[in-house]
Formats: sequence, C-alpha cells, structure tokens
Amino acid sequence: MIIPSSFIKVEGSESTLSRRVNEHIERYIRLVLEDPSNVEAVAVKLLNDEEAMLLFASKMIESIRRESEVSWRSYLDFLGTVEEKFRDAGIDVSEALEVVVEHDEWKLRSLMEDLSKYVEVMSFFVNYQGEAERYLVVSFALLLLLVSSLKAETPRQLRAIGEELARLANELESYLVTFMLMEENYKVEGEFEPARSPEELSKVLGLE
Amino acid sequence: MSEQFKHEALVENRFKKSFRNIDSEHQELIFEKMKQLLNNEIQGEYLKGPYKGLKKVRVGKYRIIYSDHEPCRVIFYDVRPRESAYT
Repeated sequence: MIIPSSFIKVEGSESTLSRRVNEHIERYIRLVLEDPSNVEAVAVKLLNDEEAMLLFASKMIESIRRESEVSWRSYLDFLGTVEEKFRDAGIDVSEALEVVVEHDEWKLRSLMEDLSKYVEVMSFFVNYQGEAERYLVVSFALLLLLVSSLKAETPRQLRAIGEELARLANELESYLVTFMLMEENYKVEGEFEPARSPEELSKVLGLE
Repeated sequence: MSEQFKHEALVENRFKKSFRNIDSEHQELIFEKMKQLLNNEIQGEYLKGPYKGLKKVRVGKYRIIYSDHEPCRVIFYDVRPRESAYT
C-alpha cells in the first residue's frame, strides 16, 4: 500500500486526519512490538477495525490527490530511515524494502496513469477472494512492521521485525508479479527450446 | 560429455529475447540461478490467481519467471528487470 507521507511521520504530523491515523494505529504498533512474529494476526485485527480502515482510505485519497511526488519522496525518506536503523543494528533489509517500494511504485503508477487498467487488474479481488484477503493481510502487516521498526528499542526486537519483513516482502512480491502480468495480459507463447546440460543451456541462451 | 541437469530445461523464445538484452554480468548470474533451479538446489515462490502455476525467483536486478509443475522439467518463460526506484 502507498503510505501517505504525513502518516509515516509518526511524530509531529500536521493534519487532523494524520493525527487521528497515528493515534489509531498506535495500539497495533504496540502489539507488533510485543511480538513481531504475531504481525499477521495484528494486521487482521487492523483490517477488521472499520474506523481505522476508513481513516486509511481517507488518508490514501488525500495523499494521492495532493502532491503525490512530494508524498513519494517523503515515503522514500522514511524507508531510508528504516533501512538505516536496521543497518546500524547489522541487519540487511534492503531486498525487502526494494520489493515494498517496487510494489507501491507499481500501484501508484497504475492508479495515476491508467485507472481503468488498474481496476481491471483489481478484478483479482473478485475472482480470487481468498488470495485477495491474504494480500491485504500481507500489505498491512508490512506497513505495521515498517512503522514498528522505528519504535523498536532492542536489537532483538529489530531482528525479529527484520525477519518478518523479509518473509512477507517475499510473499508481497508474488502478488506484485501477478498484478504486473495481469496488467499486460501476459500469455505463454509456447515456443520452447530444450537443454539438458550446462553446455546446451549456454548454447540455447546464446552465451557461446 | 558434461554432467546433465536433474531436470530438463525448456526455454521460451521470450526468455531468450529478454536474456539477450541483459548485460553479461547479469547474464552470468541468471545462468547460475537457472542451473540451481535445474538441479533442484533452490525453489522460487508461486505466483497467485491466474498465474498460480508459475513461480518467480530474484536474481540481482532481475526476476526469472518459470514453472516446475511438470515432472523433471523446468520451463523458463521470461526474465525481467525489477522496477524498484529504491536502491
């Protein structure tokens, strides 16, 4: 999901809406910090919190309507801060963050450039409801982990958050690639060349 | 005669075309990853919904899309650049 810039400034947010989102999410962040491996259950709780969802939706619309480029830069700054905190603790989360950004960037681009195409891709939510629900859990769990990481106080807490971040980003990537393929209506071509050994594969790929 | 892979590779034309446009350093990395997949040393993750038979695996700045649902066969469909602005 696209994280609105003012939302991610956990402290000192300016608008009333941002303040309300921050206040509302606080209790979920506390739960994640208590046990990062429980983040998916916390995300489910958050998804069932109607007021929180309404606030999130409003915040996302506000952030897209306003200067999306500014929001996006703030978002990247936020992720930079997250990565730095992990790096200082000797934990590499760069691959996970790359996937999260790639996903959010794809989503933002789709929304801004071709809304009808995006809506078409989101037929996924109608046709694959079980997987769609899981996608929401994964997305919100990642959001909770990212915000929680900034509030983590011990290396152990941060390590546990980092492990969950890597695992869930990997799962998010499966959805991302699926959406990308749906967007371009990807179809298998059906013309193949076989290879049974490294030499044959090398030849097929034109490496020789 | 060189050692055979555990699984046969089938490489789709689209994969070959994409592969040819990649720099040699990444070509080597992708080639190594393909060998690992063909020797059953690593596993990617399944895609979802309409593409649930396909899998993806990351290789540096690229991503291989393939399937291994047929016994003793790995089908390579495409290799694509990852599009992350965050590096």
